[in-house]
Amino acid sequence: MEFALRLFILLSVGGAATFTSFALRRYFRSAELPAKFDRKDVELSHKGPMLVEFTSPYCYECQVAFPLLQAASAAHDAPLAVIDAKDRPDLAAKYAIRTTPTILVVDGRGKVTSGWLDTSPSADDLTEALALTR
Amino acid sequence: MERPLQVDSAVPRAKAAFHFLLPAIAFLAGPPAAQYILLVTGLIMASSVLGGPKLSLFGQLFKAVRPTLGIGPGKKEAVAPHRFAEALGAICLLAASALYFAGATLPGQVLALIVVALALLNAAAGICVGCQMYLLFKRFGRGATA
Repeated sequence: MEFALRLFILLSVGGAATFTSFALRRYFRSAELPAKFDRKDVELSHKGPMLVEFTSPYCYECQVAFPLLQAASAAHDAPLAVIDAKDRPDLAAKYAIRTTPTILVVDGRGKVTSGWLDTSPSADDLTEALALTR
Repeated sequence: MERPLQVDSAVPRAKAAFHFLLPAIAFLAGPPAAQYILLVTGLIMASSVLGGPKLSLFGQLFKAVRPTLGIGPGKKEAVAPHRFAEALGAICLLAASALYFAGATLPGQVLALIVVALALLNAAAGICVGCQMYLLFKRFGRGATA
């Protein structure tokens, strides 16, 4: 194959991959934390702070985060609600969930005080975040 | 050798830049240089997969230049999906090299271009297709044993 043709093919493939990467990156970058979370959506009557994790079936990071969230929930008396975005597309749309895990720390009034997108927090991060809700 | 369970997300992306650049150079160079470039790149990736970070030449190179480039720490990610993706890339490049050596240039070029495109996706935007395949296989594996 001529060098010029190989260069053309490489530039085409590279250009398509670059365009795809930036298009997808813009989509994921526009993901933001919701401002509020209604605990009625998960049928929770607990009045204090709570943790919410939006997950999806192929989310490895969600599995990493789950035991940390469970431990923080038990240690700080903050119920944990796990919502599978595939099973509950209505809630995923309501809170504009674009990536998983999306982890929310919600205070007693339903305000999202902090959270994490596409990553798993450390135990210290969770302790600090839950302290802010009191 | 103890394997870390998490990796700084900047490292796989930096390695992906090498995984994109070298096969791209091989594709442009054409035979006979291409098969050797692909072979060496595939072997370096395989040694990283089998030997861990200490045997990862591209990872070590990135660590050496990282302070100069001023790239700060990235978020921590699970290492298993990235290792799987690198293994797939190594297999593709070694297969491409073998095809070149066997005279089947076109299939070798196609395989090399697949690695180029997917590595560029990872390096440019952090989108790791191999990682997603790993999660898919894990899910189906769990479903099969449930």
